[in-house]
Amino acid sequence: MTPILSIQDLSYAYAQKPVLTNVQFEMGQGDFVAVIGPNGGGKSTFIKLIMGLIQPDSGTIRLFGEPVESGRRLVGYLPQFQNVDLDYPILVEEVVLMSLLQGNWLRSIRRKDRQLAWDVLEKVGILHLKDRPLSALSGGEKQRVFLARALVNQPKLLILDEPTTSVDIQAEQSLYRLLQDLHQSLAILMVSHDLSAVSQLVNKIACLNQKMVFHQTKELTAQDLEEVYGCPVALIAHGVPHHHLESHG
Amino acid sequence: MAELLSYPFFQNALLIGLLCSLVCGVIGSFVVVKRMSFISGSIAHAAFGGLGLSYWLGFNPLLGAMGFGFLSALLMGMIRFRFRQQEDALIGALWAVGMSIGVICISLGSGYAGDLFGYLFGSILLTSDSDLLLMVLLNILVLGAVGYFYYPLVAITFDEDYASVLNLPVMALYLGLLELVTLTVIMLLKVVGTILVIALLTLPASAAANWTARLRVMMMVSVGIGAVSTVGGIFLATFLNFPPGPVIIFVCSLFYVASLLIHSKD
Repeated sequence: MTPILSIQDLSYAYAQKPVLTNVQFEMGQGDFVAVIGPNGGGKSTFIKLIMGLIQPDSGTIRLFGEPVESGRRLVGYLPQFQNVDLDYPILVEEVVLMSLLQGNWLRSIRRKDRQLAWDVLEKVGILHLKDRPLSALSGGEKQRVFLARALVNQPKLLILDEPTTSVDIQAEQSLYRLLQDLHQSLAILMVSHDLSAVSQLVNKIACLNQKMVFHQTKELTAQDLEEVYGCPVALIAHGVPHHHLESHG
Repeated sequence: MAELLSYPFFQNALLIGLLCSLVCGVIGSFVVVKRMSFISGSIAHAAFGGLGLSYWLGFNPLLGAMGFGFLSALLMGMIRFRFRQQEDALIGALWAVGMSIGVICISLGSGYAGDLFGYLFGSILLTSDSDLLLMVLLNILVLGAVGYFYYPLVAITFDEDYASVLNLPVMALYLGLLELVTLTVIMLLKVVGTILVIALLTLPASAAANWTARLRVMMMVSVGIGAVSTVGGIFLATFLNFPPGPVIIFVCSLFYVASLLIHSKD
C-alpha cells in the first residue's frame, strides 16, 4: 500500500545554516504521529516543506504517492495561526468557505455552499459562532475556526503545526479530545513541543532536531532523546516528559 | 450654489470625485487589510516619473503615468516574492527615483509651475469630458475585476500561505491586485495629486475598518466616506478658495480621527 506521506533524504538549509539534514519519514493510513523536538529544531520547517510552502534543497516528499503540489489537495493544514492576520475583517463562516477555492479557484461561493461550512463548524463545536468576526474570538475558538477550514474539503491527512500554542489549558484539552475523535476517520501529523500531552494521544512519536529519529512507534529510548535534544533527559515509559537532568550545553 | 452646479467643469469635478470614491473605497480596503500603503505610495511616485516624462515629451501625461505605474507595480511585486529581505529598501528607492525623474522632466518642459502643482496636489477643477469618460471606463474595469476575482483576492490578502496550499496562483493574483491599485492611483492623481494619493486610498478604508469587521461593509463604508469627503471637499474648497485636493484629504482625516474616537466593530 502506498504510504500517505513518504519523505526521503530531505535536507533544507536557511542562509547556509542546515535546518534539516537527511530526514527520512513515512506514515500510513490510521497513523497519528507527533513530531516533537526543541524550539528551532526544524519542526515548522518540516511542515512547510510537506505543504510545499518552501522547496527542499534535496530529497523527495510524496503525499499519497504524488508530488506535494497535487497531493496536498488531500491534506487539511492547520498553520500556526500567529502567522495569520487575525485583524482581517472576515466572518467565521467566510474563513471556512475560502477553502472551497481548492481545485477551482475561479469558482464562485454561493449561499448553498454555506451548508458545507456549517456542517464542519458543527463538527468542531462552534456552529454558534458562524456569523461572528474572526477578530472577536478567543484563542481556542480561533483555533477551531482554522481546524474547520482545514477539514471542510474532507482531507485524508490532517497536519497541525503547534496547535496548542496561544490557547489556554482547557481549550487544549478539548482540542485533544476533538483530535482523538477525528482520528477515527483520518490520519494526523502533529508538531508539538508538549511531550507529555501528546504521548497519551498519538500512536507514534518522531523526534526532530535537524536530524530525525523515528522508529514507527511511540517508544523512545533515553539515547534517542539525548541525541535529539542534545542533553540528558528523564524518560518515563509512555509519559515521555522532558525533564532536564543537566543544563543544556 | 445653483449657479456653481450649472458649470460643466464643476459637474465634471463632482462626478469624477464620486467615481474615484467608488474605486478608492474598494481598492483602498484591500490596501489597508493587506498593509500595502507603502507599496501603493511607491507606485504613485513612480507614476509621477512617467507623468513628468510625458509632460516633457508632450504626450498625454496619463499614458506616461500608467506606463510607469504598471511597470513599477510589476517590479515591486517581483521584488516582494524574490527579494523579500530587501523589500523595504527597494520599494523606498523606487519611490524616490520616480519622484526625481518626474521633477527633472517637468523642469525640462515649459517649466510652468502651475502644472507641477497640479500633478503634485491634484487639479480636479481642471478636467475635461474625456477625463470623465476615462474615469468611467477605469471604474468599470477595476470594479469588474474585483467582482470577478473577489474570493481569490480575499483568500490571498487574508492568508497567503494557505492560499498557495489551496493551489491558488498567489503571485499572479497579487500582481493583478497591484495593477488594480495602479489604475486606482492613476485615477486619484487627477483628484488629489501624487503626494496625497495614499491618504485618499487609505484614510477612508482605515476609518471604515474601525467601524466594521466585514470586508464588504468596510468597502461600502469607505466608498461613503470617500464620496462625502470629495464632494464636501470640492464645495468647501470652492467657497474658501483653497486647493481642493488638500481640502478633500483634510475632510477624510476628520472621518479617520472620528473613527479612532468612536469605534465599535459589531
